[in-house]
Amino acid sequence: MAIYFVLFFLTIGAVFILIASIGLLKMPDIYLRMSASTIAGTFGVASMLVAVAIHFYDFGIFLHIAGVIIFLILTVPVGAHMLGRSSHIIGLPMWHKTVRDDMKDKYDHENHTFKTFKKEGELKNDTKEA
Amino acid sequence: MSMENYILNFILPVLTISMLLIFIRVFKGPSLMDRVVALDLLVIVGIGAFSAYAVLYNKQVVIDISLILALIAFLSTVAFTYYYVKGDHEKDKFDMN
Repeated sequence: MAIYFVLFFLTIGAVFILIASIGLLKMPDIYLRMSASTIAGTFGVASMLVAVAIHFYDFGIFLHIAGVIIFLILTVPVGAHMLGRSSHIIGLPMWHKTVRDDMKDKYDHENHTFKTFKKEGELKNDTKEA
Repeated sequence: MSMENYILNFILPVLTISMLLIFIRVFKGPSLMDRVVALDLLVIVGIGAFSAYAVLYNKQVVIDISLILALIAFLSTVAFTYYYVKGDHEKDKFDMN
C-alpha cells in the first residue's frame, strides 16, 4: 500500500518539475521565468523528497528530509529575490505587455541605494561604496 | 507494472526531458541572469533525480547529497547575483537580442 503513495508523490514531483522546465523555456521575460521555475521547482522537489520519506519509513531519514525541505523553502525565495533585484538594477528589459513597473528609475547607480529607502537630504551626504 | 519499471520508464525520463529543456535555456539565455536561473533549477532537478535513485536502488546514503546540493545552489545563486551587480557589466548589457 505504501508503494502507491511513493509512486503518487514521485509522479506529482516529476510532473511539476517538467512544468517548471517548460515554463523556464517558454516564458518571455526573466522575471516570469524566475517565477515559474522557483515555485513549481520547489514544490516538485519537496513532493519527491516526501516520497523518499514514505519509502524508507525511518525517523532519521524523516528528520533529514524535513531539514532539506525547510532549507529549500527558506532559501529559494531569497535567491529569487536577489536575482530579480539584480536583474532590475542592471536594466534587463521586461516583457512588452508588462503593465506597470514600480521600481523604474528608483535606483541610484552612484550611491548603490534605492531612492525609496532614503530621504532627499541623506542621499547627498552618503559616501560612495567601493 | 512494478515499482522499478515505473520509475525507470516514467519518472527518470521525465526528469531527463526537463533537464534537456533547462539546458536549452542555459545555451540560449539572452543574459547571464537567465543562465543563473537555469542552473539553479538544474541543481534542484538534480536533487529530484537523486531522490528517485534512492527509491529505486534502496540506498539511504544518497539522501545526504541532497542537502549539500541545496546548499551549493543557494550559495552560488547569491554569489553570482551579489557580485555581478557590483562589477562592470556595461559591456554585457548589449549582447541581448
